[in-house]
Amino acid sequence: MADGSGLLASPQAPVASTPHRAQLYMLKRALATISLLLPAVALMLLLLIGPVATVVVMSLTDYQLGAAAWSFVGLHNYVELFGDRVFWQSLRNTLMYVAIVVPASVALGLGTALLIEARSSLRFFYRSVFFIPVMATLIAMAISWEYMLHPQFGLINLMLKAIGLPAQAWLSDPALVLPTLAVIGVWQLFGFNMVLFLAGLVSIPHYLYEAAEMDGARSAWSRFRLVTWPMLGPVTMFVVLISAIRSFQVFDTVHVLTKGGPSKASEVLLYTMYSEGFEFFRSGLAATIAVVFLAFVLLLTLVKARILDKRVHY
Amino acid sequence: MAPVRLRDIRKNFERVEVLKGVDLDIADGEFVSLVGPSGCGKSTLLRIIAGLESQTSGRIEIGSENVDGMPPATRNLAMVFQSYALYPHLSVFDNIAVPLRMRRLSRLQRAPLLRWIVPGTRGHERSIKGDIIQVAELLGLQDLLGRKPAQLSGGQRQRVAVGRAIVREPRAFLLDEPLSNLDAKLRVHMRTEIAQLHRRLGATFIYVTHDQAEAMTMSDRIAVMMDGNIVQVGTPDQIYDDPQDLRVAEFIGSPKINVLDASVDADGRIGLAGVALPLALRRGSADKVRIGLRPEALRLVPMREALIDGIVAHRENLGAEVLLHLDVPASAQPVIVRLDHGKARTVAIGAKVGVTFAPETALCFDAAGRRLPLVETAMLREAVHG
Repeated sequence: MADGSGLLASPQAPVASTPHRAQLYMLKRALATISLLLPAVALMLLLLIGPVATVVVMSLTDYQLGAAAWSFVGLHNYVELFGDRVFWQSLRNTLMYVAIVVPASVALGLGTALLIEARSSLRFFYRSVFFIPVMATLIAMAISWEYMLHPQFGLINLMLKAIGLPAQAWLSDPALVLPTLAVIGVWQLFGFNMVLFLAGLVSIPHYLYEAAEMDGARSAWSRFRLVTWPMLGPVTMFVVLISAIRSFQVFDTVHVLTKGGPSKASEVLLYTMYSEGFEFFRSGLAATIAVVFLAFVLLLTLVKARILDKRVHY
Repeated sequence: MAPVRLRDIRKNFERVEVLKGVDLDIADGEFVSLVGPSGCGKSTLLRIIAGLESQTSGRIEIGSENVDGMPPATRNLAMVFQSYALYPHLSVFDNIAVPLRMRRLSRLQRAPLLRWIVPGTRGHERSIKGDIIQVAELLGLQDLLGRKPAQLSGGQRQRVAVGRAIVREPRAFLLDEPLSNLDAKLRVHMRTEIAQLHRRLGATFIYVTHDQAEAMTMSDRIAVMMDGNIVQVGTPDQIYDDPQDLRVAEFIGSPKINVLDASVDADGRIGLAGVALPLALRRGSADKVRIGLRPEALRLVPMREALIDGIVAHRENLGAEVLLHLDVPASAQPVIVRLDHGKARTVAIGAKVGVTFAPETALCFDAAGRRLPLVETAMLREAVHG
């Protein structure tokens, strides 16, 4: 960057005597600014904005994967999608899944973090144990779950039988399949939330608890209400948002365990997108689902930025 | 309001003994400062009184009730923390309301939303509001009640912390270095305010500080702590004029007391670098002593009358007074002389000056730092004044 280094080498340029030299200086400055911005802008265009724009454009076409020709069809894909029963079922299932996984994984993450923080012994052990599901490959874990949930010889049904309860068809009963997947989702996610809450708990100054005790907060619950919960506000906000986005993205377990079945009872948004795009090769429609998905994530982010940021930060 | 009585309080952290058997009686309504250098155990002692820390052994009585093993909330004490410890998510009003709500409202009356349908909440909240407004007026916080702690200056936060402590009537107030986060000017101002507050409330105050000036200006009595022990307890005058230990004499008073090594002859007479001083000990009580002389006990005299002489190394002009730093052969540290504004005008740096002192102002300590009584003889008196 010759102009950039030239600029740095002549800091006296602004006090130049003639108007011509001042103009030259301004030009050099603008060039330097652009050349410094360029790498970041190029990467963002290439990796983020470009693909998103492509998907939005694709959602307006009848493009099929591998097809030689395509044409614009306007909002036809959106009309088709919003008239499709499977899409609504898929959206309902996804929202239901989020509604189970987010509160459960946040509550469980907070609960375990509080329990681990309360006693100093074995802290490291518990922290590692609960974090293992986060680090494990979900596909591999899903296969393990498949065997554990097997109707005949799965560990879970064997245990139920051993204590005299009826065995369940966890993955083939339409009423049970979504809650079962949600439990796996919670199992996978809450360790991550726990680690975030642990970090949040550590940063609460100890003197606030002492002040609470002096002020008459006798029970652990009243100290939690007075100090811990409000002080964890920003962390909780972040955890809820991350959990919501991550559970919106549920795909691996559905793909391995149910393929959206039985009779679409576990069909979720990303799985619908996958099957439209890569099984039926209707890339235009898949792109439309991707746009809807993107809209939800954007909505969540906006909710965080607009409303809740003001209430949880001090 | 209640007296506080400490008996043989000991505290060990792992193997380190932080408090080594502290006894202290604090009368009802008294303002007692625990003062000492950092690490002397004063804050630990306060936290043990509060119940935030438990003593390894010893007894604590508050208002003739033994409080050992009681959690802080049931001891009914109020504390002002060094960091103020305000709840950052609550407004000033709600911060001050916490101790009242915790004590006056039942668990259901504190529950979010639900509280308003529980009978009695409104009445309690009204009386709480009245009390808070009274305290806010007392401390000049009326206009700040809606603000969050982050929107307050250091001095205002400190006032809120005090307000939260005085809004209910605890048996005693514990203050843990409450002024140390303020700037110098505000600290001096708050010193007066806290002392006035104590007079108005008439409550028992236990005040921890490492700043001897705070202890001297506010306290009824001062307990000087060193290495986990209370070395001396007394009124500010007693502590200043009559320290029983060299460490107390050195810690209290600014600038620091001058300490000179002196020798004692067989008759008990004390000499400093060959010059006989008008001071004596009982025969045979020690052969080496340390003489403590407050900077204001020294005055300039013509050389022939001088007991100590030295070269002026530095002059500190403080306006109303001047501090002269003298290099004296008998002392490694410069000897500091405090003079009134007018008297030091003629003294230049590098000049040789002589100083003397009245025998009754000298403090004598043995090698271990214990205070030794001086005897005054007629002959010695003659030597000085004749």
